[in-house]
Amino acid sequence: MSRARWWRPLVPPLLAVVVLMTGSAATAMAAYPASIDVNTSAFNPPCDGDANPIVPKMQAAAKAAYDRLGHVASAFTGAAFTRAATLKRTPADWGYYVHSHGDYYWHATDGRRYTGFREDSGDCNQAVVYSKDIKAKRLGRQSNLVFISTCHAADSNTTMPDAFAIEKTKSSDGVNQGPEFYVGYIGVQWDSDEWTFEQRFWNALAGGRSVGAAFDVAMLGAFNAAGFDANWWGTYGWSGVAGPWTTCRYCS
Amino acid sequence: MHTTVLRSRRMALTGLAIAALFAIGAGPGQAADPFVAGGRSSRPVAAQADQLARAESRARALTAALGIPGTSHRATRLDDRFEHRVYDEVTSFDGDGREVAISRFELDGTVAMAVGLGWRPGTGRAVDSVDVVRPAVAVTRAAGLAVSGQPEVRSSAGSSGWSIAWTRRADGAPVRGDGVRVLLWPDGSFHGLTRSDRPLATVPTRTINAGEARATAESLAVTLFGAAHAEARIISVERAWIAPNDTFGPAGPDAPAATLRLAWIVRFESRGALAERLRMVELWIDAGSGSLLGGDVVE
Repeated sequence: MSRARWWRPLVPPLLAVVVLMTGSAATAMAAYPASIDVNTSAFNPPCDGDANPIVPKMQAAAKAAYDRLGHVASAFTGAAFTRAATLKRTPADWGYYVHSHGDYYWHATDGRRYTGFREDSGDCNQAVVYSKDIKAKRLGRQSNLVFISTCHAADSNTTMPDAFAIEKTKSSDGVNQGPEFYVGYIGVQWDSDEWTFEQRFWNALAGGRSVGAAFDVAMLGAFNAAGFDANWWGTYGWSGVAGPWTTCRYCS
Repeated sequence: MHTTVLRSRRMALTGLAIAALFAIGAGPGQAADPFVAGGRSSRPVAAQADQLARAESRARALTAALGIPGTSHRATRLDDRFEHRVYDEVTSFDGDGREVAISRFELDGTVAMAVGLGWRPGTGRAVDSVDVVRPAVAVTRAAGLAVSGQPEVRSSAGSSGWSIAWTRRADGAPVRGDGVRVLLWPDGSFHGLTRSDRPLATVPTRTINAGEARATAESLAVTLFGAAHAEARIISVERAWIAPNDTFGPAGPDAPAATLRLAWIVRFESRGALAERLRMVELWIDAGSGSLLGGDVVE
């Protein structure tokens, strides 16, 4: 081998690495953003006397999960998770996760209730983000996985799926309603059970299960509260992968 | 020239392997680490072919007994660091290669979990909360599990039907999260099953009473909730087995503890401004030492 050609054997492995890295970069550049909004201030100092680590764990798990699904996931908490910031980001989001205090809140101007959740804002005076606010910003655009980790987000009267243009129907066995899936809790639930449910859900998704199968596996956790319950709407057999349909053997 | 080509191909494969390691983000020593939030909780571990074949055989028998049309089965042994157990997970497929069920078996062959996949609320006549117990008992028998006593029956949106649970009890106290739970469709047909039977610590030789637990919790609340403690009041004090957690101890592990301890569960309900952030709080007080084992919150 001549001195001038010493580098030639290195070309194939370097090309292999470049191809793989370019693939990762391409995935990132495909840009299906997902926002992870987590309210830590409400359950930590200054609003609460002690530090509560469950909420940051949920944030880390959700961000990693959306990243694994091919989203460009960004996590926000404290002063970065405000009503204004969430509504500014939401038109571009394909995926969304929030963990906060949620309810079926009265909206005085409209004279009716909407499902909503509280911002963090880094202080103890936290505004409500109503489903109608999100709906007005998203204007019916496609959502992928939407996980509302709050109380009452999946009650039968919830208005939150509509904000993300997800119809409250369950599609399975060859029927699909697009690459979308909404998950939320019914009534009030304890954080430890939500953490167990979410970890099982994310883990099953990471193992290649469909979103519906991941939900079913998550429902079979060892929950502290006998009444733990969650619900879903969307396409059971969808993979959860970010973006519009690519391939779906059983649901297209 | 021929040697150079071979070397190039070998180096290309090496490059791919290195890149793949970066891509999956897994190092060789990672499997021994405890669960950390953001990571996967279960990882495949090595098992002998005959062990996996036995698990697949068990899944074949179980799905047949539960009326799930599985024609082929694939087993993997998983180390679940969130649940602190190793089990064989079997995916069952129908004739078209579609996943129809997931079953999990303890290493001694006991059923740990089974679920029929897909949303099939059934076409039969809906059963009520009394009549649903009989098919639930039949499911436990089909899975080789023994249950006794009156179960807790609830309608469940998550199961799209009914949840029927037999809670485990030890030393006269419920073991939170443990026992057998069956999920049925509205017509009473099988949807899911789970069984949990985690290790329990020794019952303390001397235990504090409910009044002592209440006093300890009230004292802790001042520290934990700060000024907000005035807006929280105790609504119940009950004895139960719980898995200690890191709710009030950030340095703790990210998964609930493997061994459950006997505790007094002191539940606070909030009011006023606090209720807009925190609806309820539980402090789990060790029934023996009176120390704080963890707790829970409803936001």
